[in-house]
Amino acid sequence: MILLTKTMASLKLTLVGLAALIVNAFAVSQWPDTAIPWLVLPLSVLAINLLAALIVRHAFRQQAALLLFHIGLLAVLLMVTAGVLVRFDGSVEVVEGAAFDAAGVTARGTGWLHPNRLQQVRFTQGPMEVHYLSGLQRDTTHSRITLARTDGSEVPRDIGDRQGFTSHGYRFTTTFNKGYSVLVLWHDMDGRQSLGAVNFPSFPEFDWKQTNDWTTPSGETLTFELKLAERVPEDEPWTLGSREVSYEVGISGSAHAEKTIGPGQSTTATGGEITIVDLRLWMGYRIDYNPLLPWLLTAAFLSLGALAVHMAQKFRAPRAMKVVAASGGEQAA
Amino acid sequence: MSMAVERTTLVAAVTGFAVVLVLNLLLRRGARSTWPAVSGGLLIVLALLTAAVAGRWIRESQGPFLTLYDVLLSNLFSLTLVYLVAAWLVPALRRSSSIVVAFLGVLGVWSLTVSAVAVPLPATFDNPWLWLHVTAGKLFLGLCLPAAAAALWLLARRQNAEAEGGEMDAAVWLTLSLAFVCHSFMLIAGAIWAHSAWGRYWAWDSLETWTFITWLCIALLLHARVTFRRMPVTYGWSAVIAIFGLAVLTFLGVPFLSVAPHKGVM
Repeated sequence: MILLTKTMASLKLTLVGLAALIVNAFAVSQWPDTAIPWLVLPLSVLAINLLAALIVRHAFRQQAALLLFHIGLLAVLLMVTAGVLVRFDGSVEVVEGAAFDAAGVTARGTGWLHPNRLQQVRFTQGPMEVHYLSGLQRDTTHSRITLARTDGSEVPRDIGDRQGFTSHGYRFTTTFNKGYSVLVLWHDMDGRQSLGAVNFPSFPEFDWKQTNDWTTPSGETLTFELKLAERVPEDEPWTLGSREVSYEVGISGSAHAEKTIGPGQSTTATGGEITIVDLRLWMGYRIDYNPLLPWLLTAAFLSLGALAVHMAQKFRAPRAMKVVAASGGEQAA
Repeated sequence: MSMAVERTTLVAAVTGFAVVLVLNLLLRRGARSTWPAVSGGLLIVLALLTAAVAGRWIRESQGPFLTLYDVLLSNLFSLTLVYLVAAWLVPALRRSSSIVVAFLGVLGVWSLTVSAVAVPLPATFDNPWLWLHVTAGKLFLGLCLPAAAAALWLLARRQNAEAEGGEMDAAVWLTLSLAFVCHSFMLIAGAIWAHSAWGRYWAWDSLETWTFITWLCIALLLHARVTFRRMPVTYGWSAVIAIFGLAVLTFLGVPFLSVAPHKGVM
């Protein structure tokens, strides 16, 4: 057992682990979705190697700063692993005036141990604006939301480029992904009404294809095309907003030729009638959940501080440098 | 400062590198101490670079972060400054000044060939952690340069390195070790900044990956030095030069060859 521990503590094994990690880090950059399988083996080898060294290498334990640096690295690895297990990474589009609906969230990554509490998040999207500089360079994003607290109270929040908000551990941040949305009112033959929203592709990135399909409550799929009266000016500052925008909407389907209508106007469809109610914006939010980030940061800074102290101790005096130079090598890594 | 004045100042700085290099070689031939002339010349060049960076900064109302020109200009400033400070503190690093100045000259000529048109800094990028991240990165590269230059100097004189290179060898490992600390801080500050700018702290984009690989290579080299104590010293010096090459490719190549979000986005 002691022999095995000594073997596992070998510095040569450290070199093998680091070399494998270098190769695998490159592989991960080529196939990012397979990051975990590529990294598990070399990181496990390095973690076991380090733990074994902590046990059997007395000289290693005597250098407090170096020891703390390596323990900090182990803590970072532990926090990253735990973070991967509990994390959530996703996105959602929320229309001005509408409430956040967890059912509309697209998950990009969910940890095996993620405690799904997204349904508990309550906020309503308020007005938003995105400012552009000349040349359509995106400048600042302003989004107002009303956040519902667990005690039932509501808090207005102004969020944007550097300011997200957190609810039930989920951090919401605005993204470059945003666009127009038309609110449509559906009247069926029996007089029942329902309200829907058709989100068009990200604007102005896809200003040349502002179309999307919408399936009516009667089951007919219609294609909506947003027709803006004015083009986006490319040579002067501009603001993306939903107020005072002149527009029409072209609606077509397999059973209908395209009909273009404006706000407040209606057109018939199979089994009912569609009325254009209003033009809004939708904001694409990135959602991430990782409650271990503060601990990961603490471990990383602790490790960095210890590394800095170790280096300072090693090279603090010209005398020490001469000793290092004379021995042709260093006493420890 | 107008763009024309900025370019003229940069041309003067690049010319200054050439003058310092020639002066260094001429004085060395006469077996005189070259450092007063080299450091004096570099201080003048540093003043010109400071004026160019500050003038651009004031005119564009943003730091030099985004374009290749911004990165080259700011690196010319930071590499010169860090080298002067490092060589002042560790005199052994002065011996390889001609290698450092030659590299800076090449970087300067490169900066004159790329477009100087500024790109607005996206609002999401504007965060104090960006400053810390970039500063740590510049310190890292700034410390790697004298380490690699000293290693190259030692390699070129490997017959006499045993006799005259002890202090320089120590200086190589000192600066590389400090560079490793700065690199570690750069990774942490970059992760915090990325989390603020894009809602994630790590995404394996090209720049992140190659930066991490550079960090791992330094860790590998430092461990290899302890593991193989009888390894020929030339192996270590060669590895330091290779790491500097990797760092230069990572910082001055990868961001401008890839479509990573580290560049400005609409």
